[in-house]
Amino acid sequence: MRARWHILVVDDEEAMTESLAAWLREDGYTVDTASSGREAIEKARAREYAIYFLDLKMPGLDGIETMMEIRKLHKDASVIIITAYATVDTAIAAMKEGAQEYVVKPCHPQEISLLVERIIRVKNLERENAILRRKLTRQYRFHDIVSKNARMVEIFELVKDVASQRSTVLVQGESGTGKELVARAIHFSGDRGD
Amino acid sequence: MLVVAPFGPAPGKVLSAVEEALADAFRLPVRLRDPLEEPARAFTPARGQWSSTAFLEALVGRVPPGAARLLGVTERDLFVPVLSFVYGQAQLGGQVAVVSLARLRPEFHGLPPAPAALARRAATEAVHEVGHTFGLVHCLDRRCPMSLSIDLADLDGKTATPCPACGALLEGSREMQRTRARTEGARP
Repeated sequence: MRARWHILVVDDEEAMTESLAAWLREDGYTVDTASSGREAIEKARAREYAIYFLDLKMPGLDGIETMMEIRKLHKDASVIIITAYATVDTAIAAMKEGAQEYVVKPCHPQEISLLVERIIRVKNLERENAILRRKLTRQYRFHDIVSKNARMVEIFELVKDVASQRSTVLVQGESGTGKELVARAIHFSGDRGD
Repeated sequence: MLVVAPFGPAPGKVLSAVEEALADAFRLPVRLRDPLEEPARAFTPARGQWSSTAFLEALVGRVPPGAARLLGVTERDLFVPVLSFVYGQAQLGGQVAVVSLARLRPEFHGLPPAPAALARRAATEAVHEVGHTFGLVHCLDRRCPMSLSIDLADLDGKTATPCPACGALLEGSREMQRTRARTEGARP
């Protein structure tokens, strides 16, 4: 549901801010606005937004400076720079500093909606991926293989040593002895799990 | 009751189609009122277009007593500052909305006039904008009038009847229930 995604629109021109905010609200998103870079940073301190629309030219902190400050708070922030002053140089500068997209206003209505939709779709996938990874890791960490048997404790220590190595590992044992569990424990305990 | 008011002259068939579509979609009585004077200050010379927000502001003080919503219809090409154009605009959860016929006309795109297509498109967009005033947001069902129209092909693929999901949201909304209660109460 789009309403759970919060977007921040930042522009020193109220008419621009309000028109973009209204458009995004019609798309179903929850939108906050700010009229300056400083105000945007304060709002970013209070919550993490899914997307930040930042006007390039603003008095005080400009869009790129604001983006850099926001990135210190939220390193994965999705930032879209909007500007009426399109030049190749400013576009390159914005992208080099980490802007996800660069939009020239006024833009086609479709451009904003599809851009936001694409970013949100990726965020949904990232979130789902993180949840699934945590579940999988929790399921297969060797900490979860319970045993007080001395031989098993030896195996746990071996798993810990091997997990940190990059070599190929062959796990041998009779059927039903837990080879798959050990293999997964090695995988998710080390760098292989990433 | 929903009220439709053209800003200046508008084709009769278009207004009839808009009235009928609104009555069907929202199941409320619809009344057509006399033309309103268009807001001259809405014209923005730098863009050669008319401010949609200025049209909404012109409508705000003119909602007739007893009317739940007021929809303006204009021939002017509308814009909001951040976008190159809009087919219409509404107060999300508010009382007023406006629809532009300009880009719904095939002639705008260099094609021969098609009055039936214009009427159908105007009706769909009217339902879309009034839907926003009842709190509906853009729908992902491409056939629903609440879906976002990117171009005329999208517009022509939509019906003027809200999809089941939007219909349920509409009927379940407190605002629609209040509106129906007021409309029932006003009946003789």
